[in-house]
Amino acid sequence: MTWQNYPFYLHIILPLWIAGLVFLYLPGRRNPLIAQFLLFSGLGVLGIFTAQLWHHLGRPPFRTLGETRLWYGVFMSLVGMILYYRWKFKWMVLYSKAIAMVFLLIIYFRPEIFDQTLMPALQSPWFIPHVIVYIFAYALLTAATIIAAKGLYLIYGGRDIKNSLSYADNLVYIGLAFLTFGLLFGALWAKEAWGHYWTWDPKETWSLITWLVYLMYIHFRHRHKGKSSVPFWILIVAMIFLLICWFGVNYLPSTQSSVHTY
Amino acid sequence: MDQKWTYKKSFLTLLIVLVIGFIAQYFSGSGGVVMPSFPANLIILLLFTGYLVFTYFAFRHTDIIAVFTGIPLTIAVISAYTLLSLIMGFTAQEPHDNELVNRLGLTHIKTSYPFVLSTIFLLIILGYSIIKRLTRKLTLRNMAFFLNHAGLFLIIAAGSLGTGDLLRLSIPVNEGSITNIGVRGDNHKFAIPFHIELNQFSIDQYPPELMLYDGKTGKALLEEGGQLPFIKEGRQGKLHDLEFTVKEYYDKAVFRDSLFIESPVFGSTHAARLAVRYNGSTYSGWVSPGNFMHEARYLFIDGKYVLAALEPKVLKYQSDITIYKNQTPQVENVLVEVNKPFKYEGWTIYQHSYDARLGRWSRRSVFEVSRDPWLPVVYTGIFMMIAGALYLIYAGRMPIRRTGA
Ligand code: HEM
Repeated sequence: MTWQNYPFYLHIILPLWIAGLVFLYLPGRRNPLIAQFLLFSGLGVLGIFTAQLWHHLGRPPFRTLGETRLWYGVFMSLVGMILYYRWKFKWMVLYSKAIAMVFLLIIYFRPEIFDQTLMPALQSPWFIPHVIVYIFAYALLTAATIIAAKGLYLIYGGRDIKNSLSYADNLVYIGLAFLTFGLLFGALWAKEAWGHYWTWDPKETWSLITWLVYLMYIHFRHRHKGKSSVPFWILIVAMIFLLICWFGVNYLPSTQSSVHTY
Repeated sequence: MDQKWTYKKSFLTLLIVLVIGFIAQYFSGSGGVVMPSFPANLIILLLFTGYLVFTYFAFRHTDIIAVFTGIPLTIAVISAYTLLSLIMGFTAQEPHDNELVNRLGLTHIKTSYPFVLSTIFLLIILGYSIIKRLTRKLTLRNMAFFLNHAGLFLIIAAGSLGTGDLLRLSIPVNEGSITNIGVRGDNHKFAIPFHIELNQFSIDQYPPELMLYDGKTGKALLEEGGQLPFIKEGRQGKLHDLEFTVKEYYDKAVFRDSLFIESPVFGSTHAARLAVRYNGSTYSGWVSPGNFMHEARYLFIDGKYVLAALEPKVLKYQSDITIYKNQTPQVENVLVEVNKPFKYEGWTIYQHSYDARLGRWSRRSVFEVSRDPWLPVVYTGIFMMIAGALYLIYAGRMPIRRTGA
C-alpha cells in the first residue's frame, strides 16, 4: 500500500463525506444518523489508508509534508465529529470537513515533498500542526467576536441577548484550547529550530497578549455568570490584538529582528 | 470574602506593584534583574513553594487567601502581564536613545523589576489556587484545573528561574578546524566540555528563479514569493508578452571572455543562456544572479524589459561534524541541520548560520550550542497544559457550581 493507491481511496472518501454533509443539512429525523454513518465511513477509509501506509513504510508517516497533511486530514475531521457529538455544532462539521478535504486534495494535486522554496526553518513536522491549530483557533474566535458584536448591538438597543453568552463561552473555551496548542507547539518547534522555546520574539509576544485576553474572558465568566456587556467587550479587544498578531506584527517598530517575518 | 474586594482595589494593587517595580528599576540603573543560578534558583523555588503551602494552611480561613484565589485579583494580574507584554510588543527590545526609556526598563521588559514582581505575584495567585483545588475531591474537572494551572506554574517558574542556568552560545567553526569556545549574547566567552570539528559544510539550493523588470522604471513586474519560474535547461514559458526558452543552464559556471562555461571551482555562480521572442524578434543572452566573485548579468529586451536570475533560495544547509573529548573522537560524522539539532551530554548543537557573504561557498558554519537543565521541568508543564487544553475542548463551558472560599 503506497501513495500510488491514494487516488483510489480519495475517490471513496470524498463522495462519502460530501454525501454525509448533504444529509447533515437535509431536514428529516433520520438524516443526521445517515449523515454520521457516511461521515464516519469516510473517516474509516482514510484511517485504513493511513494505517496501511504506515505498515508499508515501516515507520510512522510523519516525515514529509504530504504525510503531515494526511494526518491533518484525519485529525481535522475527527475534531469536527467530536465537537458535533459534544455540542451539536453542525457548521463545525461542515467547516472541519471542508478543510480536511482541501488538504486531501492538495496531496492529490501537489504530491511533491517540498513546497516551492520553503525556507529551512519551516521544513519541520511542526509546521503544519502549528499553523493548523492557529487557523482553527482563529476561526472559532472570529465566530465568537461576531456573537459579541451582535450581543453588544442587542444590549445597547435595550434588547435581550438570550443565549449569546453561552454560545460565546463554548467557542472561546474551544478556541482558547486551540490557541494554547498553537502557543505550545510553537514553543516545542522553536526549541528544535532556534535553540530556545521562548525568545520574546514580537510574534510570540503578540500571540501571548492575545492568549492572555481570552484567558481574562474565561476567568471573568467563571465568576460572573450573569448577562453583562463586559465579556463582549473583552472579546472585541481580544480580536483587535488577534488581528495585530496575525497581520500587523510586520509593521511594528519592535519587529526589526523578528524570526517570523519572511 | 470576594465581594469586599472589588475590582478597583485589585487593579489598584497591581498598579502599586507596577509602580514600585518601575521605581526600583529606575534606581537600580539600566541593568536588568540577574537570575540566580544553580543551586540558588532551586532553593528559591523550593522555599517559595514551601512558603505558599505553609501560609495557605495557616491562613486558609482568612480573607487574605480568599482574595488571593479570587477572580478580581486574577484578572488584575493577567492585565498587568498583558500591559507589560504590550510594552514589549510595541517597543523594540534593544537599547534606546532616550536614557529615561532605558532606565525604566522599557527596552528590556523581560529582565525588569516590574516584570519580575508581576511574575512573582502571578505565581502566588496561581500557587494558592492550585493548593486550594488540591484539597478538593478528585474529579475530572479538578484534575483539568490542576493540569492547566500547575502546568503554567511550572512553565513560568522553571522557565524564569531556569534562565540562571541557561547557556546559549554561538560557536563558529571553519572547515577542518576544531574548537570548544563559544560566545554568549553579551560577548562573554565560554569553553564547553567537548570540542567540535567541522568536517564539511554544505548547502543545497533551489534553482534560481527568473524575474522580469520594467526596463525604464526598474520595477519588478512579477511578484516575488509567487510562482516565479525556476530556471532549468529546456524550460519554456511566457512572462507578460515575452516567450522565453532556457537554452543552457549551469549550476556552477565561470565567466570567460564573453560567455559562461561550466566549472565547479570555488566562487563559481549560476548562469543561464536565454532565448527570448518579443514583438517578432529574438533576443539571446546570459542571465546570472552573480556572487562575491562574479557580477550579476541581465538580459535587456528592447529597452522595455530586463530579465534577471534571482539569488537562489536555500533549500537546506548542514554541517558534518565530529565531537571530541580528551582528544578522542566520541561521535563521528553526525549531520546537524536546521530543525535537526544533535544532542550530546546535556548539550544541544543547532545549525545556526554560515558565512552569508560566501553563500554556498561558505566554509564556515555557525552553531548555536545550548544547555538548559530546567528544560525537562518546562516540558512537563507544557505537556500538562496540552492535556488540560484537551479537557477544555471536551468540556466546553460547563455549568459552574458555587465555589465556596
Ligand atoms: C495566568 C494565570 C492564571 C491564574 C492566576 C488563574 C487563576 C484562576 C483562579 C483564581 C480561578 C478560580 C478558581 C476557583 O474559583 O476556585 C481560575 C479558574 C479557572 N481557570 Fe485559571 N488561572 C490562570 C491561568 C489559566 C489558564 C492558563 C487556563 C487554561 C488554559 C485557565 C483556566 C481556568 C478555568 C477553566 C477555570 C475554571 C475552573 C473550573 O471551573 O473548574 N486558567 N483560575
